[in-house]
Amino acid sequence: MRRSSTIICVCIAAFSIATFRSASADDSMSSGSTMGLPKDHQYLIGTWTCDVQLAAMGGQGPTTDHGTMTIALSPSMTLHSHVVAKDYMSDSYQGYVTKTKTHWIASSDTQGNTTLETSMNGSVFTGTTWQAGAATPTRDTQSKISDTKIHDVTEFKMNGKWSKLADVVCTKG
Amino acid sequence: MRIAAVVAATSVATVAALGFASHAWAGPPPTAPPNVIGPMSSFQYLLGTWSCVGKPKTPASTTKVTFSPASDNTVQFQSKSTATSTIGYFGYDAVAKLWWSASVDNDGVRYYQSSKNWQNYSGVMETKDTTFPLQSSMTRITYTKYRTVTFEQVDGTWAQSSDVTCVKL
Repeated sequence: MRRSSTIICVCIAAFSIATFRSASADDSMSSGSTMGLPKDHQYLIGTWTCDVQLAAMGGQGPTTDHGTMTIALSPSMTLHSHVVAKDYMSDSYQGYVTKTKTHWIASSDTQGNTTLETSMNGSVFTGTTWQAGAATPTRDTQSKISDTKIHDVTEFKMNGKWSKLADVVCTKG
Repeated sequence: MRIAAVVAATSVATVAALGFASHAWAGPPPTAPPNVIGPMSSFQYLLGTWSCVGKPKTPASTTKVTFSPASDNTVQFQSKSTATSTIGYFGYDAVAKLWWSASVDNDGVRYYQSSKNWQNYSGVMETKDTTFPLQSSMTRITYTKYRTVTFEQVDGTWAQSSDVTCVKL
């Protein structure tokens, strides 16, 4: 349960980052601001149902899980996403820094994890997840399938090697 | 702009992070059905909405903070002003015997703090570029009012970064 929840956190939280994946600095909605919501990503605002496929790990075979993600606007033209799954909740903010052309996401959850990830190209996000001081490198690769379906692959770096942990598809509505 | 936002966020996060500490000094909480149990029951009186003001004074210095029960016997807190938004969770690590607070804000900053004694907290505030050590203390004034003071270490020197009082709505 804990394993799957943690992964849901990273995966679903990372999904929200997809809002910025294809955005350029020019289409930020924030004129004169350091951050902004890309205009062509308004479709993400709303409620999504997410199915998570978890890789085999720790002697446990592949499993699946489910969650609901709600995305809304937050101050400074950032996005706030709230995830609810069985025995698990998480919240994330996502933004874009025009000056440095950097996409970012910051997440926290009910297991005490905090995550910071950034992307320079808007397609692959790398960063770190901390739990009680222990840090683990994370990477998310996302894609927009349609206005009502998005996809994300989450990887963790262990012993110097990236390992796929989850594959998530979220459907709007 | 970014500094102001970070300071404001720190203040708000600290208010939320330390809110539960007041219960240790308060005796039994006001009557309400328990939504959190064990060590987390200390959060019980905080559940609800608070209005917080203090220093540093900014156009967004008045903040609304909400505490609510969350999954796995944790408490979610969310603080909002016109310019800032911070959200996170409080929980208890039975192995380490520490209460923890993990939160993030709309400026892309993460916060992690822990406490052994309910009154004094320590942790970090981390941006994409820098990590600042944090120390906080909290004074309960009444069941419906508390004050938090936060110190931030920059270049090896501790300096007060916020002084905020919250009133329950």
